[in-house]
Amino acid sequence: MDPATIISTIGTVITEAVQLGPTVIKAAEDAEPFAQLIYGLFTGTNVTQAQLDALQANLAALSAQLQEPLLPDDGTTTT
Amino acid sequence: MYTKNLTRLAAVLAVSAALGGCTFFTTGISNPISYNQLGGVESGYGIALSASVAYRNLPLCRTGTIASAVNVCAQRSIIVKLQQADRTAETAIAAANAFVANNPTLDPTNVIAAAQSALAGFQAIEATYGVK
Repeated sequence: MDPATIISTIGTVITEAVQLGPTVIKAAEDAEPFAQLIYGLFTGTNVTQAQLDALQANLAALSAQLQEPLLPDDGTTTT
Repeated sequence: MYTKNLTRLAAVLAVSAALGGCTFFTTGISNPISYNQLGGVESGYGIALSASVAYRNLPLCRTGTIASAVNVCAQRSIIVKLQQADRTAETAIAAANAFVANNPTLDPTNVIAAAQSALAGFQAIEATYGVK
């Protein structure tokens, strides 16, 4: 692989990483309340029914995002 | 007379315990272990689900391309599998949550085990397709 190709590839990877940044940050934000509860369990904090209900609400919100219907398959995207 | 009443009371308690298990003696005392177990399952699922939502939000891979470090994209068929597994897991976890909420003194082992199993299934699909 010649230097120009290597530089081009690195540039592409950096561009992708920059574009992916918001996605990664959002995933980390989405996971935060769940990670906090796990941390609490490790430190000996007991979970309450109110916390379970809050987790359930967070799960429902995330699930709704995942379940959003995909755009119709017009043949331009890989199945 | 007093002794006779005591005997009757003891008999009633014994029958109640036999019919209702420990429920008779533990009414009103919530089990923190159940909450902690379910909290652990729900949190584990939340973290796994966050990764799947991030994957879901990627652009779909163009026909003839595959996902790679320089072509970050989501495959339609993988999203569909994640959606199916999510429905199963959501149902199991909601059932476990409802059981614990409505029966805080009863043993939730079975419903929590079902939720754990559904979570494991979801995580297995993520692992298979590199969604993490």
